[in-house]
Amino acid sequence: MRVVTVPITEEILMSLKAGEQVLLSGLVATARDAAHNLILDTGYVPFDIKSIPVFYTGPSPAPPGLVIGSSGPTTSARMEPFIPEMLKLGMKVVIGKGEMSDETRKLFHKHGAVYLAATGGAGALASTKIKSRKIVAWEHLGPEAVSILELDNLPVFVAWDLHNGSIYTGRK
Amino acid sequence: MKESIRLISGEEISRAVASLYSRACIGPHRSVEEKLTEILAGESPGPGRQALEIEISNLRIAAETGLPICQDTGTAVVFIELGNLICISDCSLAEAVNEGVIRACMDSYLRPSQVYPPLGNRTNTMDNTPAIIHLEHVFGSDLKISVLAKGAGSENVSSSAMLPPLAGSQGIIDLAESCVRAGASKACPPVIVGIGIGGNLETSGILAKKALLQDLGMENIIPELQELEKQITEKLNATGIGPQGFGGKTTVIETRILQLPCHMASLPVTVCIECHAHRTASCVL
Repeated sequence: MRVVTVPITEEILMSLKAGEQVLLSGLVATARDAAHNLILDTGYVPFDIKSIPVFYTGPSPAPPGLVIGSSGPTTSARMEPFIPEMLKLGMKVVIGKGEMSDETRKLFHKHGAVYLAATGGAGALASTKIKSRKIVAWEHLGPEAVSILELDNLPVFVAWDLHNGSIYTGRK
Repeated sequence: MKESIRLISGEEISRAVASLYSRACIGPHRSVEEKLTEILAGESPGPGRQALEIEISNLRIAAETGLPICQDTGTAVVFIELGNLICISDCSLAEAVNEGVIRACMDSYLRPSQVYPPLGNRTNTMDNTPAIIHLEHVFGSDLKISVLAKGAGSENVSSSAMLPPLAGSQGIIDLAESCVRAGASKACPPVIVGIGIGGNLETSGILAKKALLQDLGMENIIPELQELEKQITEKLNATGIGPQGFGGKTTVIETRILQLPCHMASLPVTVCIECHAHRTASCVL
């Protein structure tokens, strides 16, 4: 299986094919509903949105001795109202779960962004693939605070690629 | 036979709820693992199959490490069957149950996900209370507690409808199909579909949740409903949505239906979607 390391070069981004499973390593930023709301309200993005993928997750508390608790993806569709602005800010890679609307898919395509789907519900497995966690903004949001995670081979699937390909096409 | 009153302390109930809620969130869930492994054997190669493999291995990792299966440790939905001879000696049932939820949340590092008020600043209650409690008063001296850790991903794609009274089984099938087509990929499939038919607006929802509490593979005792369950499962699996929505033969693990009488002018239905991890646990005190 291919290992993809952040920052993901334009060339690698272009080479990703919908349906392909890859192992993602390197830094990602966590953000979900409340954090997106604050990013757009304040205009402050607490990480380099152009090079760091946005991971939609709200981890469970870290037990003693671990860097993070369970940490799988949350439903991407809830973030759709924020996505047009985030793409304008330069977001290139999203990690989440579940299908989003065709309208959003077209926006991703227009902005040259890729949607990666992690396995929904597989939070314990994801936790074992996270080497570090550092909260960088809005700590009061608890599980929704923005943090930078260092991934070590998290299995993800290319859901939308740059060539109009989608993993969600098997439907009859 | 003359039975005497049985005293149970709030502490006993809290301890049981804490243990059940933790077990629901962490596992082991052997029967779910077995069922998913059985489904895996029938899946063709592709991302759907690969995702199913990850789901199964995640269940094992959770049970081994003690980490929650999913970071969304859900709302604690607690069904209680309270025997008529039971007297809770020192607190209300809700106090005892909520104390159990707080302990599970603290001791097992579950994620607090409840916020209040629902509009406005939505402040986290920080201990995942309140639990949602459904109480049934039954004959006897037992206290049965069942806990369902219900995540929002699957809850958000569930739906209730007041159908025309003669919409019949087709009305039920259509509602289940619309929920699954629109939402299954967001609900961490393969999903379990719980359906409550009859009662009224609020009881159809409780019934659908209760349907989810039954063990996997249990046959419906009503032949017509068993047939309808089979029909719905087959129809939804023909969509090809598959594990995680990545395509595959299994979108729905099982459909479970419960029914109640209803008003002659109504046909209330709730379709409650449940993720593949099926996080339940129960005990009798």
